[in-house]
Amino acid sequence: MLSSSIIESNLNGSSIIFPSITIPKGELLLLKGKSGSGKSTFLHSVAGLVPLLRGNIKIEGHGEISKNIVPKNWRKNALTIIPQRPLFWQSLTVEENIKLSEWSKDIESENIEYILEKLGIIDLSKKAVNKLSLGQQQRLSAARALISKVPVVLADEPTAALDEENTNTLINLFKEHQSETGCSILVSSHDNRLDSIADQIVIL
Amino acid sequence: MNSLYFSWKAIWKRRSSTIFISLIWATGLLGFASIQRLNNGVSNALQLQLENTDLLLSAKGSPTRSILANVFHLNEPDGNILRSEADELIRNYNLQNVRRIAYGDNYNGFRILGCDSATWNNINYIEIKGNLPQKSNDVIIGRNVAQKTGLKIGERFHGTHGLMEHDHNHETTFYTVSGIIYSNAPSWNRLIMGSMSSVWRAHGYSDSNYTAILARIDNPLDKLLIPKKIQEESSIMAVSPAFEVNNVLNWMHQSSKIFSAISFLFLITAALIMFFLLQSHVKERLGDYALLRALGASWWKIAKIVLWQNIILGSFAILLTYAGLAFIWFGQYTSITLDEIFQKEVYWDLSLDIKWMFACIVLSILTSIGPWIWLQRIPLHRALVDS
Repeated sequence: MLSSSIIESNLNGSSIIFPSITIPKGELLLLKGKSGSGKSTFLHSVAGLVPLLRGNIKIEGHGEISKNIVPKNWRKNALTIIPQRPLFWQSLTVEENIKLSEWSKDIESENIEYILEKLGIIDLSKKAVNKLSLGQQQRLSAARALISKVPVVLADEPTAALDEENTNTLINLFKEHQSETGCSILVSSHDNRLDSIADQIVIL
Repeated sequence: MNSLYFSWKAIWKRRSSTIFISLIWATGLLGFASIQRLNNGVSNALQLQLENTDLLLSAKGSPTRSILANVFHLNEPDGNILRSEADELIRNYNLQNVRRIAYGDNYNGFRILGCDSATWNNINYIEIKGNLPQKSNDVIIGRNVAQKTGLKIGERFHGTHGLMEHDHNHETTFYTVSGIIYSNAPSWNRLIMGSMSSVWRAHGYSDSNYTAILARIDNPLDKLLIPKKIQEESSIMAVSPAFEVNNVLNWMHQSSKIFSAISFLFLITAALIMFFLLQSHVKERLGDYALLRALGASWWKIAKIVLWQNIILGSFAILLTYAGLAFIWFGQYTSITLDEIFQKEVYWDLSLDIKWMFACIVLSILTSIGPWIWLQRIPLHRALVDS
């Protein structure tokens, strides 16, 4: 379970205040809002990438973030993140980028092939990542996040570059991952197609 | 897959800058390593050739010329010394390990040196094929002579009068190769050595004079006094080769110190350039490192990647340095002088390189410290949004 009090985040010297949220195990919270409303900043605050000035964020069994304190191994064991812009090591292949994620988290996943196959990128595993289209990169970014069985998944505009079919695939994969791991998912998106799977919707 | 693998992939992606950085570093290292080799090679060659030679008796003339001719066999001697007078000096001064030599003819430009068994016994052999001379016309030849003339054990040849090639042949006297030697004192490798009687016989004498006498003096004080006394009392020139050569070596050491200092400065400059290049290399990859942090990699894991990258660059520099040394090694065959200075055993004695190789790896680690500190302060949110 993920819960946060009202928090104030410090973004480059200016502060942004966010409402409190709670995402029980196995639920998905959809964060909506205009561009610039701070959706990504909120996700990054939860990930401990943006420092807090006030308030705290808890993940059950993994401690809490507060001002100047991010628990050790927070991003390694407590959560996984799908960044807004798919980021990879351009020198590596699809498979190697997945391995890099495993290495970062000290895990060995058994479901890599299954996830890659579900997302339709299994045939690209030996391909250099810079040869992929934006949509393929978006799917790979999701696959990389979903190979780890952590209690919280943060997804920043995960469907921005996906067509209808791939969006549906990703939605199904989120549901499947949730039922398998019982994780809480926090998604920021403009995409109304995600409304149907959200247990809660928070508008910033 | 581990940090080394990911570092390698990252470095290989930027091949041109990797090679550029390594080349800058390797140039400094090569200067350092080659000067070290030249210095050691010359000192080693000179010192081995001087072993047991505290006194040189020869015809009056230039001491340097006499040393070059009779100890290093590089020059022509000034003349001969009277055998009776020389033998008397040997008896009077109780000289040890006395080696008598008489210059004879040449074969294809390689000198034939008449000598006694004490001379053969004084050579530092690395390898002997065949035997030392048993019969009066037997000769042993140095490895360079065998390589350049094609002479083999058991083959016979005529000497040519004089010390230079193309003089007239002594067709009445032939020499038989009884052995081929390879010494780490390089002068021996380009000599043909037989008995003194065979050299005298080639000139039609059954008995003749010596060109020089080399000897050891055990008492340190006598090493200084005996040459002086002989100079005053006889018509023979007496010099202390060790003393003269030490002056040359001291001068050489001073010169090589200057060269070493220059190449050390170059090395420092290369390290500084490398430090700044590595900083910009890390900055270029800010998004990559931020991504690792976002994925949950510890700071230590990222530090290992940076460290491995620098160690790989350092190792490349070491490999390139050895490639440069190999280039010099093979290039030396075009130069007779270098061929004699760069003996294989000295040149490829890798224990000499342990210090600078170690320094190179330490430098790799030191140049990682800056990026390590810097990476701890990555503004992760900014890096992820801007990448």
